[in-house]
Amino acid sequence: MTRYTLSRLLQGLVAMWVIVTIVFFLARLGGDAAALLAPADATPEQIAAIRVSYGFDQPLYLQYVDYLRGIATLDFGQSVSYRQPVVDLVMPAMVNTARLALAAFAIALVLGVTFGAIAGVRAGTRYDQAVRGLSVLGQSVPPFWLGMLLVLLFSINLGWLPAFGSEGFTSLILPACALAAFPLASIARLTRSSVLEIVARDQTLFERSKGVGPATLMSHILRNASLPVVTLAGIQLGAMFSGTIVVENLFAWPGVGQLAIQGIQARDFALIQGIVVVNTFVFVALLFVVDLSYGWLDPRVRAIKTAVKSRVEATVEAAA
Amino acid sequence: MLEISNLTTHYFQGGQVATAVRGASLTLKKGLATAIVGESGSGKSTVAMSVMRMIRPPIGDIAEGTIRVNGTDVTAASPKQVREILRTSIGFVPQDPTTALDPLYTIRSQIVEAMPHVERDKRTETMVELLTSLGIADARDRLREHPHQFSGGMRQRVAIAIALAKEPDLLIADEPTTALDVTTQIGILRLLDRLRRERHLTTMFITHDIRVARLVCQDLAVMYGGVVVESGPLSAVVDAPSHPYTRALLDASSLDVGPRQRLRAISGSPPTLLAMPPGCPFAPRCPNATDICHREMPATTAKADGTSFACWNPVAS
Amino acid sequence: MSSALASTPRIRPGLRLRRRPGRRPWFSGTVMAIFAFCGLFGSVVAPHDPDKVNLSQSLKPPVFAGGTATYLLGTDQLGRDVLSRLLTGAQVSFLVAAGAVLIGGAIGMLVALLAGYTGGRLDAVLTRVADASMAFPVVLLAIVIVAIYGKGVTVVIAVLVVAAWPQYARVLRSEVIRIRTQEFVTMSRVMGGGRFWAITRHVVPNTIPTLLVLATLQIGLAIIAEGSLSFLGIGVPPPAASWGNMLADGRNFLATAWWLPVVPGVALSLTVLAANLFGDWLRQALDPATRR
Repeated sequence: MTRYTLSRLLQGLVAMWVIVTIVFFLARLGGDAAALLAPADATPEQIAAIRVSYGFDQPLYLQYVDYLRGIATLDFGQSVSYRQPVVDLVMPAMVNTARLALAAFAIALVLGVTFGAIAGVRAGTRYDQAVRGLSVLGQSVPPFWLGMLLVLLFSINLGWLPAFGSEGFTSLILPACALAAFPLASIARLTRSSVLEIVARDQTLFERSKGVGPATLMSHILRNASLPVVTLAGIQLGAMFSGTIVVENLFAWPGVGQLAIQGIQARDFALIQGIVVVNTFVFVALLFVVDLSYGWLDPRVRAIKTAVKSRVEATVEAAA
Repeated sequence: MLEISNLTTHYFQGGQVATAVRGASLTLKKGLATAIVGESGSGKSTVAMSVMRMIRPPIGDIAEGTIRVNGTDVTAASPKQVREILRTSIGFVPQDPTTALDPLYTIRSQIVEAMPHVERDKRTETMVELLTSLGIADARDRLREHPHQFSGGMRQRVAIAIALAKEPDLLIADEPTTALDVTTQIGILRLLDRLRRERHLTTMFITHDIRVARLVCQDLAVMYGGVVVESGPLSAVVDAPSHPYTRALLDASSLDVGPRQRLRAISGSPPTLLAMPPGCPFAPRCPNATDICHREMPATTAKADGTSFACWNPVAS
Repeated sequence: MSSALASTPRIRPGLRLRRRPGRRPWFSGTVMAIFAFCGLFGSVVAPHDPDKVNLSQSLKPPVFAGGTATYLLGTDQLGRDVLSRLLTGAQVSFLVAAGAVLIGGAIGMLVALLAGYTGGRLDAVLTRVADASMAFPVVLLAIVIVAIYGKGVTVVIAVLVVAAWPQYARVLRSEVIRIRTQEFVTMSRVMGGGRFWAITRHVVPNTIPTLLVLATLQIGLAIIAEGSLSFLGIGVPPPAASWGNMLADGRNFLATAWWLPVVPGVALSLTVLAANLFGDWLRQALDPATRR
C-alpha cells in the first residue's frame, strides 16, 4: 500500500513538473518575457528595469531554477496590476472557486450516479431512454449558455434566485447548476453503461443465487460499477476548477476564473502564471486522491506490485 | 425433490422469441446426482436458470410448465418467495469461479451473505469448518483474503463453500469443472461426489461431457434443441440408448478410440433456436429420420429399464 | 427496483442479445449537413451584411415573436441582422472545428504511430507527455497562450489542437498496437513487406473507423470551446460574428431582448448535439472497439 501510494505521488509530482515547465518555456519562447510582465503602457526603460529585477538577463537555466524554487515556496512573484503578491490574490479566489466547484460536483456526482444506476438496472425502459436522451443533451449544452437560460427563467421571469453575486447560499444555486450539467451527464452515462456491464456478469448471477435481498445485490453492483466512475469523477472535478471560469464570468463570482480574465486584460503574466500553477496543483492532487481511492476500492490494484513497480520505472524513465 | 414438468422457456432477442427449452419434464431423486448432458444451445443451462428463476423479462420468461422445489412451485412464486428458496434450499456452483466471485469483497463477506441463518458469533467457526472440509488449508487466515489471491481450483472450492453455506437440499452445478485445469477437475468432481453422499444432496450436474457425467452421476437426461430426448438411470441409458442422438453422443465420446482410428463426430450442426422446426429438433441430422420426424414432435415412451425417450424411430437395441 | 434486479440478464453463448441495428441518423445527419453548408457558404447566403450597423433598426424581435420578415431572427443592439450574423458565425465555428479536428487528428495519429510502432523508451516518453498535456485544462491553456500571443482565430485553433492531440494519440496508440500484432500484419512482414508498407497498407486504414468516431466527437468539443473562449473575450476578436461573440453580447440583453442570447445558443447546442449523436451512431455502426 505504501509502495502504491509513493508511486502515485511520484507520478503526480512528475505531471506537475512537466506542466510547470511547459508554462515556463511557453513564456520564454513567446518573445520578451519582461514585456509580458510589464504593464501595457511601460516605457523601454521600465521594461529593461523589470528584466533586471526579474533576472531575465540571467542564463535560462538559472531562471528556471529560480522559478522552480519560487513555486516550491509558493512564491509566484508580484502582481503588476494589483501591486500585491500573487499568492495573496490567488488563495482567497481559490477558496471561492472551490466552493462553487465542490457544490457543482456534489450535485453532478449524487444525481449522476443515481440516475445512471437506475437507468442501468432498468435498461431498455422509458426511464432509461429518458436518462440517455437527457445525458446526450447535457453534454451538448455549454455551461455558460445553460447559465443564461437559468438566469432568464429563475431570476428574470420568476424572480426566485439572484442572477449574480456571491452572497449567501441562494447565489450559489444557479452557477452550481450551470456548472454541474455537463459532468452530471457524463457521470450518468458512464454509471449506466458500467452498471449494465456488471449486471450482465457471472458474479451478479452468482450473487443472486445466494438469495440476497435487493439492497445487498445493489451494493455489490454499485461498488463494482464505481471503479471507472471514480476515475471520471476525479477528472471532471479537476476540469471543473477551470470550467468555473466561464460560469464565474457569467455570474460575477469572485473566483480564480474572474481573476484570470482580469489578469489577461491587465497583461499581468505573473498573476496568470500563479493561477495556472495553483490550478494544476489542485488537478494533480485530485487525481492523486482518485488513484488512492481506487486502490482502496479495488483490492487487486494494491496487490499488483510488479505492475506498480514497472509503472514507477516508466515514470522515472520518462522523467530522465 | 425437484420436479420439472412440461417446462418451456423463451429468450427475447430484439423483438424475436427464441425457445431455449421446449416442454421439458424431469424429476431429480433425493440424494442422487442427475446429469443434464447436451451441446451448447441445447437448453441445459436454461433449465437450471429457470429453476432458480433467473430468467425474467426483458431477457426472457418461463412460458409454460411447473417447477416444484420441495413441493413449492417456483414458477408461481413471488420474487420474495424465490429469494427465500434460494436462501435456504438451492446451492449453485458456477461454471467459472474466476468471474463468479466478486473481486472487490473478501471471501469472508461473500460467504457470510449466504449464511444469514447462522448466529453471528458462530459464523467464523462454521466457515472455517466448511472451508477446511472442502480442502482449503489455513482457512481462518484465508477468510480475510480476496478472490484473486486464490488459485482456480481453490476459487471453485470457495464457490462451493458459498453454495453449501446455506445447507441446501439441492445443488445445481453448471459445468463446474469446464474452466479448470484437467488435474484440478478430478479433485472438484471427487469433492462434489463426496458432498452428495455425506450430505444427501440432490445434485443437478450440467455438462457437455458425457464421460464426466459417468464419473459422478446416477441419473442422466440428454437434451437436444431445448428438448429432453432421453432420460433415466445413467447406466441403463448408456448400456442401451434408444434415441439416435444419445447413440451418436456416446459414439462421439467413446473412450476406446485407439490410435489411427477416426474420431466419430455428429455431422451437421445444432439448430438455431429462433427458427425451430415443428417436429423433432434432431431430425435434420438424424440418420433414422422419416417424414413424420420433421412434422411432429414424438411423444415420450417409457421403457422397462426405467428410462424413457422421445423418438419416432428409436435405435434398435 | 427489486423486480428489475431480478431480471439480471444471463445471456448464454449463442443467445447474445444483439443490439438492434441502429436507426439511421436522420436528425443528426441533417443538422450536420446544414452546419457544413453554412460553414462553407454562410456569408454567401446571408440576407444582410452581418457587420452593417443600423441603429434605427436596433433590437427588432424575430418574426415568430412579432417581428418583420426583413429580419427573420431579429436584430441586435446595433441593428445588425441576427440571422446573417448566425450564418457568418457558423463559418467561424466550422473553421475552428475543422482546423482543430484535422490538425489535432493528424498530430495524434502521427504520435500514435510513432509510439505504438517503435515502443520502448520513445513510447513511454510520448505517453507521459500526452498524459501530462491532458491534465492541462483547455481554458487555462487558452489563457496562457492568449496572454503570451494575443487573440485570434489561429490562436483558438492552436489551443484546441494542443488540447485535442493527446486524446487521439492515446486511443489510436492502443489501436495501432492491437493491429500491428495481428496475424495479417505479421504475415505481411514475414512475406517480406517493409515496415512502411505495413503501416500505410494495413495499420493506418484499420485505425480509420476509430479516428472518424473520435473526430466527430471532437467537433462538438471544439465548437463549445470556441464559444467559451469568445464568450470570455479571449477567443475570436470582436466585432467578427462568431457564436461565442454573439452570446457574449447577448448576455446583457437577457431581460430586454431574449432572442439575442437564445438564438445563437440554440444554434450552438443543436450543432453540438448533432455532432455527439452522430458520433455515437458512428461508434455503434463501425464498432471499432470490437472490430477484428
